[in-house]
Amino acid sequence: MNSLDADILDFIDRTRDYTAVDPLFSDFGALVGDLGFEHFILTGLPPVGENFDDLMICNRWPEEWSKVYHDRRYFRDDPVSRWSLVRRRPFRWQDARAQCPATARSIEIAGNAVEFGLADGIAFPLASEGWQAVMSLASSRPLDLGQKDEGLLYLASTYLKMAATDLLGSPKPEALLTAREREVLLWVAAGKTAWEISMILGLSENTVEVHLRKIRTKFGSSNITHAVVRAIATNQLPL
Amino acid sequence: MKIHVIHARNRHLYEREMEDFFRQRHRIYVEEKGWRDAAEDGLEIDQFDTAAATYLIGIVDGRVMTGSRFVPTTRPHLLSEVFHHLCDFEGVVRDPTVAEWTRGFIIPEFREVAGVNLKAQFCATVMEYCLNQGITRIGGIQEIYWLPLWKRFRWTVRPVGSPSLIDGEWCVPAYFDVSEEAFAGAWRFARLQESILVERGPRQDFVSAAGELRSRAA
Repeated sequence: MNSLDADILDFIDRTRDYTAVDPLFSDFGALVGDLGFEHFILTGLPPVGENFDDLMICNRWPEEWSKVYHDRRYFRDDPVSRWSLVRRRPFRWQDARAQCPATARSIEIAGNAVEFGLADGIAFPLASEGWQAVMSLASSRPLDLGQKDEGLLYLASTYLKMAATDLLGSPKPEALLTAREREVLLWVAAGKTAWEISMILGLSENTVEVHLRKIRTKFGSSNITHAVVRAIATNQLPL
Repeated sequence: MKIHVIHARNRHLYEREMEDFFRQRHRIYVEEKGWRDAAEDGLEIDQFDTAAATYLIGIVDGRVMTGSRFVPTTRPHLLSEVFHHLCDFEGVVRDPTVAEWTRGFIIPEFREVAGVNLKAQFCATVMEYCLNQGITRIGGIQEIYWLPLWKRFRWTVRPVGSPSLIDGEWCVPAYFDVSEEAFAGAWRFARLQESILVERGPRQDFVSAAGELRSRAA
Protein backbone atom coordinates (compact mmCIF):
# COMPACT_ATOMS: atom_id res chain seq x y z
CA MET A 1 0.00 0.00 0.00
CA ASN A 2 1.57 3.31 -1.01
CA SER A 3 1.05 6.54 0.88
CA LEU A 4 -1.92 7.81 -1.12
CA ASP A 5 -3.70 4.50 -0.53
CA ALA A 6 -3.13 4.93 3.19
CA ASP A 7 -4.25 8.57 3.16
CA ILE A 8 -7.46 7.70 1.34
CA LEU A 9 -8.18 4.75 3.61
CA ASP A 10 -7.62 6.88 6.70
CA PHE A 11 -9.89 9.55 5.25
CA ILE A 12 -12.60 6.95 4.61
CA ASP A 13 -12.35 5.80 8.23
CA ARG A 14 -12.48 9.38 9.48
CA THR A 15 -15.67 10.13 7.52
CA ARG A 16 -17.60 7.97 9.98
CA ASP A 17 -16.61 10.12 12.95
CA TYR A 18 -17.72 13.53 11.79
CA THR A 19 -20.84 14.97 13.36
CA ALA A 20 -20.91 18.14 11.25
CA VAL A 21 -20.33 18.72 7.56
CA ASP A 22 -17.92 21.67 7.61
CA PRO A 23 -14.99 19.84 9.22
CA LEU A 24 -15.74 16.87 6.93
CA PHE A 25 -15.55 19.07 3.84
CA SER A 26 -12.40 20.78 5.10
CA ASP A 27 -10.80 17.39 5.67
CA PHE A 28 -11.60 16.41 2.08
CA GLY A 29 -10.40 19.81 0.88
CA ALA A 30 -7.04 19.23 2.54
CA LEU A 31 -6.78 15.73 1.05
CA VAL A 32 -7.41 16.84 -2.53
CA GLY A 33 -5.48 20.08 -1.96
CA ASP A 34 -2.36 18.00 -1.38
CA LEU A 35 -2.89 16.50 -4.82
CA GLY A 36 -3.04 19.89 -6.50
CA PHE A 37 -6.81 20.44 -6.47
CA GLU A 38 -7.30 23.82 -4.85
CA HIS A 39 -11.08 23.91 -5.28
CA PHE A 40 -13.98 21.50 -5.48
CA ILE A 41 -17.72 21.43 -5.66
CA LEU A 42 -20.17 18.69 -4.71
CA THR A 43 -23.67 19.25 -5.96
CA GLY A 44 -26.83 17.54 -7.04
CA LEU A 45 -27.80 18.29 -10.61
CA PRO A 46 -31.27 19.39 -11.64
CA PRO A 47 -33.19 16.95 -13.80
CA VAL A 48 -34.51 19.95 -15.73
CA GLY A 49 -33.50 23.58 -15.85
CA GLU A 50 -30.31 25.12 -14.65
CA ASN A 51 -30.76 25.90 -11.03
CA PHE A 52 -28.66 23.63 -8.88
CA ASP A 53 -28.56 25.98 -5.88
CA ASP A 54 -31.24 23.93 -4.12
CA LEU A 55 -29.24 20.78 -4.64
CA MET A 56 -25.84 22.15 -3.63
CA ILE A 57 -24.09 20.03 -1.05
CA CYS A 58 -20.69 21.67 -0.71
CA ASN A 59 -19.41 24.65 -2.65
CA ARG A 60 -15.68 25.23 -2.32
CA TRP A 61 -15.40 27.20 -5.54
CA PRO A 62 -13.95 30.71 -5.19
CA GLU A 63 -16.95 32.82 -4.24
CA GLU A 64 -16.48 35.23 -7.12
CA TRP A 65 -16.41 32.38 -9.62
CA SER A 66 -19.65 30.93 -8.23
CA LYS A 67 -21.24 34.34 -8.65
CA VAL A 68 -20.05 34.76 -12.22
CA TYR A 69 -21.11 31.19 -13.06
CA HIS A 70 -24.58 31.80 -11.66
CA ASP A 71 -25.11 35.34 -12.99
CA ARG A 72 -23.90 34.54 -16.48
CA ARG A 73 -25.79 31.21 -16.50
CA TYR A 74 -22.80 29.16 -17.50
CA PHE A 75 -24.42 25.88 -16.49
CA ARG A 76 -26.25 25.39 -19.77
CA ASP A 77 -23.16 25.92 -21.92
CA ASP A 78 -20.39 24.42 -19.80
CA PRO A 79 -19.27 21.10 -21.34
CA VAL A 80 -18.33 19.83 -17.88
CA SER A 81 -21.86 20.49 -16.58
CA ARG A 82 -23.41 18.91 -19.66
CA TRP A 83 -21.34 15.78 -19.25
CA SER A 84 -22.00 15.69 -15.48
CA LEU A 85 -25.70 15.37 -16.22
CA VAL A 86 -25.43 12.40 -18.50
CA ARG A 87 -22.22 10.55 -17.74
CA ARG A 88 -21.99 7.81 -15.21
CA ARG A 89 -18.24 7.36 -15.20
CA PRO A 90 -15.49 9.77 -14.07
CA PHE A 91 -14.26 12.08 -16.79
CA ARG A 92 -11.61 14.73 -17.14
CA TRP A 93 -12.56 18.29 -17.98
CA GLN A 94 -10.22 18.13 -20.98
CA ASP A 95 -12.24 15.29 -22.49
CA ALA A 96 -15.60 17.02 -22.02
CA ARG A 97 -14.20 20.18 -23.56
CA ALA A 98 -12.52 18.37 -26.44
CA GLN A 99 -15.60 16.36 -27.33
CA CYS A 100 -18.22 19.09 -27.09
CA PRO A 101 -18.31 21.45 -30.08
CA ALA A 102 -16.47 24.64 -29.14
CA THR A 103 -18.69 27.69 -29.00
CA ALA A 104 -17.97 31.30 -28.11
CA ARG A 105 -19.69 30.60 -24.81
CA SER A 106 -17.74 27.44 -23.97
CA ILE A 107 -14.49 29.25 -24.77
CA GLU A 108 -15.55 32.17 -22.58
CA ILE A 109 -16.37 29.80 -19.72
CA ALA A 110 -13.03 27.99 -19.92
CA GLY A 111 -11.15 31.29 -20.19
CA ASN A 112 -12.90 32.85 -17.22
CA ALA A 113 -12.40 29.73 -15.17
CA VAL A 114 -8.64 30.05 -15.62
CA GLU A 115 -8.87 33.63 -14.35
CA PHE A 116 -10.33 32.30 -11.13
CA GLY A 117 -7.76 29.53 -10.73
CA LEU A 118 -9.72 26.68 -12.26
CA ALA A 119 -7.70 25.70 -15.30
CA ASP A 120 -8.30 21.99 -15.42
CA GLY A 121 -10.05 19.32 -13.45
CA ILE A 122 -11.78 16.00 -13.10
CA ALA A 123 -15.43 15.18 -12.43
CA PHE A 124 -16.95 12.21 -10.64
CA PRO A 125 -20.65 11.68 -11.33
CA LEU A 126 -22.18 10.15 -8.21
CA ALA A 127 -25.37 8.14 -7.90
CA SER A 128 -28.02 9.80 -5.84
CA GLU A 129 -31.66 9.18 -5.03
CA GLY A 130 -33.76 10.28 -7.97
CA TRP A 131 -31.17 12.56 -9.56
CA GLN A 132 -27.55 12.82 -10.59
CA ALA A 133 -24.87 14.43 -8.43
CA VAL A 134 -21.26 15.32 -9.23
CA MET A 135 -18.00 15.97 -7.42
CA SER A 136 -15.84 18.25 -9.53
CA LEU A 137 -12.22 18.88 -8.54
CA ALA A 138 -10.37 21.85 -10.00
CA SER A 139 -6.70 22.60 -10.39
CA SER A 140 -4.97 25.81 -11.42
CA ARG A 141 -2.56 23.74 -13.51
CA PRO A 142 -3.01 21.13 -16.24
CA LEU A 143 -4.03 17.80 -14.79
CA ASP A 144 -1.24 15.40 -13.89
CA LEU A 145 -3.14 12.50 -12.41
CA GLY A 146 -2.45 8.81 -13.00
CA GLN A 147 -5.27 6.33 -13.41
CA LYS A 148 -4.64 4.65 -10.08
CA ASP A 149 -4.89 7.94 -8.22
CA GLU A 150 -8.02 8.77 -10.19
CA GLY A 151 -9.64 5.63 -8.78
CA LEU A 152 -8.59 6.52 -5.25
CA LEU A 153 -10.05 10.03 -5.60
CA TYR A 154 -13.26 8.52 -6.95
CA LEU A 155 -13.46 6.32 -3.88
CA ALA A 156 -12.74 9.24 -1.53
CA SER A 157 -15.38 11.41 -3.26
CA THR A 158 -17.91 8.62 -2.95
CA TYR A 159 -17.27 8.26 0.77
CA LEU A 160 -17.42 12.01 1.25
CA LYS A 161 -20.80 12.07 -0.41
CA MET A 162 -22.06 9.17 1.68
CA ALA A 163 -20.97 10.87 4.90
CA ALA A 164 -22.41 14.21 3.82
CA THR A 165 -25.69 12.54 2.92
CA ASP A 166 -25.82 11.01 6.40
CA LEU A 167 -25.11 14.28 8.14
CA LEU A 168 -27.42 16.39 6.00
CA GLY A 169 -30.05 13.76 5.53
CA SER A 170 -31.61 13.59 8.96
CA PRO A 171 -34.70 15.72 8.90
CA LYS A 172 -35.04 18.43 11.50
CA PRO A 173 -37.98 17.76 13.84
CA GLU A 174 -40.05 20.53 12.24
CA ALA A 175 -39.55 18.88 8.84
CA LEU A 176 -40.88 15.44 9.74
CA LEU A 177 -43.83 14.42 7.59
CA THR A 178 -46.89 12.67 8.96
CA ALA A 179 -47.93 9.39 7.38
CA ARG A 180 -50.74 11.12 5.49
CA GLU A 181 -48.39 13.82 4.23
CA ARG A 182 -45.99 11.14 3.00
CA GLU A 183 -48.84 9.45 1.18
CA VAL A 184 -49.91 12.66 -0.52
CA LEU A 185 -46.33 13.50 -1.49
CA LEU A 186 -45.78 10.04 -2.94
CA TRP A 187 -48.66 10.66 -5.35
CA VAL A 188 -47.26 14.08 -6.22
CA ALA A 189 -43.96 12.41 -6.99
CA ALA A 190 -45.89 10.01 -9.24
CA GLY A 191 -47.18 12.98 -11.20
CA LYS A 192 -50.73 13.23 -9.84
CA THR A 193 -52.59 16.51 -9.54
CA ALA A 194 -54.28 17.60 -6.30
CA TRP A 195 -57.66 16.66 -7.77
CA GLU A 196 -56.44 13.20 -8.77
CA ILE A 197 -54.94 12.68 -5.33
CA SER A 198 -58.23 13.69 -3.71
CA MET A 199 -59.98 11.01 -5.80
CA ILE A 200 -57.34 8.38 -5.02
CA LEU A 201 -57.33 8.99 -1.27
CA GLY A 202 -61.03 9.79 -0.89
CA LEU A 203 -60.42 13.31 0.42
CA SER A 204 -61.74 16.66 -0.66
CA GLU A 205 -59.48 18.56 -3.01
CA ASN A 206 -59.33 21.31 -0.40
CA THR A 207 -57.94 18.89 2.17
CA VAL A 208 -55.24 17.79 -0.26
CA GLU A 209 -54.31 21.44 -0.87
CA VAL A 210 -54.03 21.96 2.88
CA HIS A 211 -51.69 18.99 3.13
CA LEU A 212 -49.56 20.30 0.27
CA ARG A 213 -49.30 23.70 1.88
CA LYS A 214 -48.28 22.13 5.18
CA ILE A 215 -45.63 20.04 3.41
CA ARG A 216 -44.19 23.07 1.61
CA THR A 217 -44.03 24.97 4.89
CA LYS A 218 -42.25 22.13 6.64
CA PHE A 219 -39.48 22.18 4.06
CA GLY A 220 -39.51 25.90 3.46
CA SER A 221 -40.15 25.17 -0.21
CA SER A 222 -41.72 27.62 -2.60
CA ASN A 223 -42.95 24.79 -4.81
CA ILE A 224 -43.97 21.20 -4.25
CA THR A 225 -41.28 19.78 -6.52
CA HIS A 226 -38.64 21.18 -4.24
CA ALA A 227 -40.45 19.60 -1.30
CA VAL A 228 -40.33 16.22 -3.07
CA VAL A 229 -36.57 16.67 -3.47
CA ARG A 230 -36.14 17.55 0.20
CA ALA A 231 -38.30 14.63 1.31
CA ILE A 232 -36.19 12.21 -0.72
CA ALA A 233 -32.98 13.77 0.57
CA THR A 234 -34.14 13.30 4.16
CA ASN A 235 -35.12 9.71 3.56
CA GLN A 236 -38.80 10.36 4.10
CA LEU A 237 -39.95 9.38 0.67
CA PRO A 238 -38.73 6.03 -0.51
CA LEU A 239 -39.13 5.80 -4.27
CA MET B 1 -42.75 -13.51 -1.85
CA LYS B 2 -40.77 -15.90 0.32
CA ILE B 3 -36.99 -16.06 0.44
CA HIS B 4 -35.74 -19.61 0.55
CA VAL B 5 -32.34 -20.66 1.86
CA ILE B 6 -30.88 -23.33 -0.41
CA HIS B 7 -27.62 -25.18 0.22
CA ALA B 8 -26.03 -28.58 -0.32
CA ARG B 9 -28.14 -30.25 2.36
CA ASN B 10 -31.61 -29.23 1.14
CA ARG B 11 -31.00 -28.60 -2.53
CA HIS B 12 -32.77 -31.83 -3.45
CA LEU B 13 -36.01 -30.09 -2.44
CA TYR B 14 -35.44 -27.29 -4.92
CA GLU B 15 -34.16 -28.81 -8.16
CA ARG B 16 -36.75 -27.06 -10.31
CA GLU B 17 -36.26 -23.70 -8.62
CA MET B 18 -32.48 -23.96 -8.90
CA GLU B 19 -32.74 -24.52 -12.64
CA ASP B 20 -35.05 -21.50 -12.88
CA PHE B 21 -32.52 -19.53 -10.83
CA PHE B 22 -29.61 -20.35 -13.16
CA ARG B 23 -31.83 -19.61 -16.16
CA GLN B 24 -32.66 -16.15 -14.74
CA ARG B 25 -28.97 -15.59 -14.09
CA HIS B 26 -28.33 -16.35 -17.75
CA ARG B 27 -30.98 -13.84 -18.80
CA ILE B 28 -29.44 -11.16 -16.69
CA TYR B 29 -25.72 -11.82 -16.58
CA VAL B 30 -25.30 -13.09 -20.12
CA GLU B 31 -28.11 -11.58 -22.17
CA GLU B 32 -28.65 -8.31 -20.35
CA LYS B 33 -25.24 -7.43 -18.95
CA GLY B 34 -23.01 -9.42 -21.28
CA TRP B 35 -20.69 -10.38 -18.43
CA ARG B 36 -20.32 -13.96 -19.56
CA ASP B 37 -20.62 -15.99 -22.74
CA ALA B 38 -23.86 -17.72 -23.60
CA ALA B 39 -24.26 -21.30 -22.46
CA GLU B 40 -25.89 -23.86 -24.71
CA ASP B 41 -28.30 -24.99 -22.05
CA GLY B 42 -29.29 -21.40 -21.17
CA LEU B 43 -28.05 -21.73 -17.57
CA GLU B 44 -25.44 -19.40 -16.08
CA ILE B 45 -23.33 -21.53 -13.76
CA ASP B 46 -19.73 -20.77 -12.84
CA GLN B 47 -16.89 -22.44 -10.95
CA PHE B 48 -18.15 -21.05 -7.64
CA ASP B 49 -21.57 -22.69 -7.82
CA THR B 50 -20.40 -25.64 -5.77
CA ALA B 51 -21.57 -27.45 -2.67
CA ALA B 52 -19.91 -24.65 -0.72
CA ALA B 53 -22.41 -22.09 -2.00
CA THR B 54 -25.61 -21.07 -0.24
CA TYR B 55 -28.35 -19.33 -2.18
CA LEU B 56 -31.08 -16.99 -0.99
CA ILE B 57 -33.78 -17.10 -3.64
CA GLY B 58 -37.03 -15.14 -3.69
CA ILE B 59 -39.91 -17.21 -5.01
CA VAL B 60 -43.44 -16.13 -5.85
CA ASP B 61 -45.98 -18.72 -7.03
CA GLY B 62 -43.17 -21.12 -7.80
CA ARG B 63 -41.30 -18.57 -9.94
CA VAL B 64 -37.84 -17.24 -9.13
CA MET B 65 -38.06 -13.44 -8.83
CA THR B 66 -34.83 -12.54 -7.11
CA GLY B 67 -31.76 -14.28 -5.80
CA SER B 68 -28.13 -14.16 -4.83
CA ARG B 69 -25.28 -16.41 -3.77
CA PHE B 70 -23.11 -16.65 -0.66
CA VAL B 71 -19.72 -18.33 -0.73
CA PRO B 72 -17.59 -18.57 2.42
CA THR B 73 -14.37 -16.61 2.02
CA THR B 74 -12.57 -19.65 3.41
CA ARG B 75 -13.40 -21.42 0.12
CA PRO B 76 -12.42 -20.39 -3.42
CA HIS B 77 -14.41 -17.33 -4.42
CA LEU B 78 -14.20 -14.56 -7.03
CA LEU B 79 -12.00 -12.34 -4.92
CA SER B 80 -9.57 -15.10 -3.98
CA GLU B 81 -9.32 -16.72 -7.39
CA VAL B 82 -9.85 -13.98 -9.97
CA PHE B 83 -9.32 -10.64 -8.26
CA HIS B 84 -6.85 -11.38 -5.48
CA HIS B 85 -4.39 -8.85 -6.91
CA LEU B 86 -6.91 -6.14 -6.05
CA CYS B 87 -6.94 -7.00 -2.35
CA ASP B 88 -3.81 -5.04 -1.66
CA PHE B 89 -4.67 -3.47 1.67
CA GLU B 90 -4.41 -6.55 3.87
CA GLY B 91 -4.55 -9.43 1.42
CA VAL B 92 -7.57 -11.57 0.65
CA VAL B 93 -10.03 -11.77 3.54
CA ARG B 94 -10.33 -15.39 4.74
CA ASP B 95 -12.79 -15.71 7.57
CA PRO B 96 -15.58 -18.23 8.19
CA THR B 97 -17.86 -15.38 9.28
CA VAL B 98 -17.26 -13.37 6.10
CA ALA B 99 -19.15 -14.32 2.94
CA GLU B 100 -18.75 -13.29 -0.66
CA TRP B 101 -22.15 -12.12 -1.85
CA THR B 102 -22.56 -12.18 -5.61
CA ARG B 103 -24.82 -12.77 -8.61
CA GLY B 104 -27.62 -10.77 -7.02
CA PHE B 105 -30.54 -9.85 -9.27
CA ILE B 106 -34.19 -8.98 -9.54
CA ILE B 107 -35.86 -10.21 -12.70
CA PRO B 108 -36.74 -7.36 -15.10
CA GLU B 109 -40.50 -7.90 -14.90
CA PHE B 110 -40.39 -7.28 -11.19
CA ARG B 111 -38.08 -4.28 -11.18
CA GLU B 112 -40.56 -1.73 -12.48
CA VAL B 113 -43.58 -3.01 -10.60
CA ALA B 114 -42.13 -3.44 -7.17
CA GLY B 115 -39.87 -0.41 -6.82
CA VAL B 116 -37.72 -0.26 -3.76
CA ASN B 117 -39.95 -2.55 -1.68
CA LEU B 118 -38.76 -5.71 -3.34
CA LYS B 119 -35.12 -4.82 -3.04
CA ALA B 120 -35.69 -3.80 0.56
CA GLN B 121 -37.49 -7.06 1.33
CA PHE B 122 -34.65 -9.03 -0.19
CA CYS B 123 -31.89 -7.03 1.52
CA ALA B 124 -33.63 -7.11 4.90
CA THR B 125 -33.97 -10.87 4.61
CA VAL B 126 -30.32 -11.20 3.64
CA MET B 127 -29.36 -9.35 6.80
CA GLU B 128 -31.81 -11.43 8.83
CA TYR B 129 -30.19 -14.61 7.51
CA CYS B 130 -26.67 -13.28 8.20
CA LEU B 131 -27.56 -12.23 11.74
CA ASN B 132 -29.12 -15.64 12.42
CA GLN B 133 -26.05 -17.40 11.08
CA GLY B 134 -23.42 -15.22 12.75
CA ILE B 135 -22.07 -13.94 9.43
CA THR B 136 -20.35 -10.65 10.17
CA ARG B 137 -19.62 -9.22 6.71
CA ILE B 138 -20.80 -9.80 3.15
CA GLY B 139 -19.46 -8.39 -0.08
CA GLY B 140 -16.95 -8.78 -2.83
CA ILE B 141 -16.22 -6.70 -5.91
CA GLN B 142 -18.47 -3.63 -5.89
CA GLU B 143 -19.02 -0.98 -8.54
CA ILE B 144 -18.04 2.31 -6.93
CA TYR B 145 -20.89 4.10 -8.69
CA TRP B 146 -23.54 2.15 -6.77
CA LEU B 147 -21.93 2.35 -3.32
CA PRO B 148 -23.89 5.42 -2.19
CA LEU B 149 -27.24 3.77 -2.91
CA TRP B 150 -26.71 1.25 -0.12
CA LYS B 151 -26.79 4.18 2.27
CA ARG B 152 -30.53 4.28 1.77
CA PHE B 153 -30.70 1.11 3.84
CA ARG B 154 -28.14 2.50 6.29
CA TRP B 155 -25.66 -0.14 5.15
CA THR B 156 -21.97 0.60 5.82
CA VAL B 157 -19.25 -0.69 3.52
CA ARG B 158 -15.44 -0.80 3.81
CA PRO B 159 -12.94 -1.26 0.97
CA VAL B 160 -10.31 -3.98 1.38
CA GLY B 161 -8.32 -3.07 -1.71
CA SER B 162 -7.59 -0.38 -4.28
CA PRO B 163 -10.11 0.69 -6.90
CA SER B 164 -9.49 -0.59 -10.41
CA LEU B 165 -11.15 -0.47 -13.78
CA ILE B 166 -12.88 -3.71 -14.72
CA ASP B 167 -14.39 -3.66 -18.21
CA GLY B 168 -14.47 0.12 -18.08
CA GLU B 169 -16.21 0.32 -14.68
CA TRP B 170 -14.44 1.48 -11.55
CA CYS B 171 -14.75 -1.29 -8.98
CA VAL B 172 -13.39 -1.91 -5.50
CA PRO B 173 -13.28 -5.00 -3.29
CA ALA B 174 -15.41 -4.10 -0.27
CA TYR B 175 -17.53 -5.68 2.43
CA PHE B 176 -20.79 -4.57 4.02
CA ASP B 177 -21.08 -4.83 7.79
CA VAL B 178 -23.82 -7.14 9.01
CA SER B 179 -25.70 -5.45 11.85
CA GLU B 180 -29.10 -4.95 13.41
CA GLU B 181 -28.97 -1.43 12.02
CA ALA B 182 -28.42 -2.72 8.49
CA PHE B 183 -31.35 -5.09 8.95
CA ALA B 184 -33.60 -2.34 10.33
CA GLY B 185 -32.52 0.10 7.62
CA ALA B 186 -33.75 -2.23 4.88
CA TRP B 187 -36.76 -3.49 6.86
CA ARG B 188 -38.03 0.08 7.10
CA PHE B 189 -38.73 0.10 3.36
CA ALA B 190 -39.81 -3.50 3.12
CA ARG B 191 -43.49 -3.08 4.09
CA LEU B 192 -43.60 -6.51 5.64
CA GLN B 193 -45.44 -7.58 8.77
CA GLU B 194 -43.29 -10.61 9.43
CA SER B 195 -40.23 -12.52 8.25
CA ILE B 196 -40.29 -14.05 4.78
CA LEU B 197 -37.24 -16.23 5.34
CA VAL B 198 -37.90 -19.92 4.74
CA GLU B 199 -35.58 -22.78 5.67
CA ARG B 200 -36.94 -26.11 4.50
CA GLY B 201 -35.50 -29.52 5.14
CA PRO B 202 -32.11 -30.21 6.73
CA ARG B 203 -30.38 -27.12 8.10
CA GLN B 204 -26.81 -26.07 7.37
CA ASP B 205 -24.85 -23.81 9.66
CA PHE B 206 -23.00 -21.43 7.33
CA VAL B 207 -20.15 -20.51 9.64
CA SER B 208 -19.31 -24.00 10.89
CA ALA B 209 -19.53 -25.38 7.34
CA ALA B 210 -17.08 -22.65 6.30
CA GLY B 211 -14.79 -23.42 9.21
CA GLU B 212 -14.84 -27.17 8.65
CA LEU B 213 -13.73 -26.85 5.06
CA ARG B 214 -10.81 -24.65 6.02
CA SER B 215 -9.49 -27.14 8.57
CA ARG B 216 -10.00 -29.96 6.09
CA ALA B 217 -7.98 -28.02 3.54
CA ALA B 218 -5.23 -27.41 6.09
